[in-house]
Amino acid sequence: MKLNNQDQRPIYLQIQEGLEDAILAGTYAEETQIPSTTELSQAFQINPATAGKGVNTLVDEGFCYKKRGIGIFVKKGAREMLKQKRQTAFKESYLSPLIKEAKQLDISMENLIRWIKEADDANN
Amino acid sequence: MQTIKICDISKNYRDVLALDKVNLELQAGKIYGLLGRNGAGKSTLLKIIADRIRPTSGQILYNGKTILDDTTSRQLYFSEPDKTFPELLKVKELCYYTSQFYPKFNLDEVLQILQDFGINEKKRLNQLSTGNFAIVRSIVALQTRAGFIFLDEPTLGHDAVNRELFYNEVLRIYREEQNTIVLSTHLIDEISNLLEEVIFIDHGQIFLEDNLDNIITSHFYLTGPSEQIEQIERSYSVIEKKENLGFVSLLIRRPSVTPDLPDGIKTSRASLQDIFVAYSKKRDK
Repeated sequence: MKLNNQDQRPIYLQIQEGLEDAILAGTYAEETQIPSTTELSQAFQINPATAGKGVNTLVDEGFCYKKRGIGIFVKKGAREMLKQKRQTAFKESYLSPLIKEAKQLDISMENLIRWIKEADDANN
Repeated sequence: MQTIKICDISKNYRDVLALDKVNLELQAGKIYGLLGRNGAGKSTLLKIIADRIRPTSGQILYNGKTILDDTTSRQLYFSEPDKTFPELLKVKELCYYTSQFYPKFNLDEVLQILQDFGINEKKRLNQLSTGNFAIVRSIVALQTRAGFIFLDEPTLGHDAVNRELFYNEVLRIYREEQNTIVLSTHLIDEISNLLEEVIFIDHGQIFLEDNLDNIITSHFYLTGPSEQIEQIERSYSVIEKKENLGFVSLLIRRPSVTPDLPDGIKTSRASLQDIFVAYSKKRDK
């Protein structure tokens, strides 16, 4: 997980997304503890309230839960739920800009689809 | 102390209006950034809060009281770049006297920290280099662990490595004490990650005061060809307009409803510094 100062989104969103990525990747497995607000504040040199906001958003959205006096844990099923959430967001954050740019460059849909397939083949 | 309330404070230096009816409430347990250009009134405001100088009009309420009594002054520390300490004082003596006034100031621990920074406690303050004086002054200030710590230009004289160490110290003390730390500086982007609340001051007036995240999420750039931008310009509150080779970039304040953007217009985020500079330029016009 890494904060990017060029990325001008609020830091708490970057914290939230970084933790989400780590849960998706299995770095923080279900039913295990995620870093505390203090640890995040130390590691990234950020205001603890900002770190707390990032963590609490995960709790509010139901991916994590609080164990009183211990810390924040990843909920069972969180990985699958996160995948769903990210898939929904995929259209807006990846497809729309892709299509917009393709149109600006007069790239046809057929070409676009063919290129995606080719890129996928090259990756495999 | 739970709050410090600044009520209608104005300050004139002869015919110069340094502060113009400033109203502000500082709450316990937050890191504030008091951000403004040189001469904006940052230091004057802090000096008035710390009771070093008197306002021309208005008053400060410390937990509702107008008087900074003995108990309350021990909950407040003000550190300024001007050399206000007796210059023949030794580092160790400065620490000793500070520990006598601020009960949480741990003399041994502070001397150890200063030693780790390579500072000789036997040196007199006027024998220290600018950089070392800056270290002594900011470490002493933070280590008072006072409820309200005001740091005026705390990084003045620090090199890049020491600034980094200083920012870590700010956060460490804040995590341990949950106190209020007010950082006044013109190095905006460098400290923005430390802040929870932001106060923008310019020409003696506070023109924006909000939670950092609110400020960042409520401003962004729209960039596109001039004709397209002109079509949509009127629907927004524009802070700054930059024209460059047929392309226009607007820094706007987010409306409650975001209209659909025509093709060819891109949005991008603005940093705290971008936003500050844009407002300042607008106010100069």
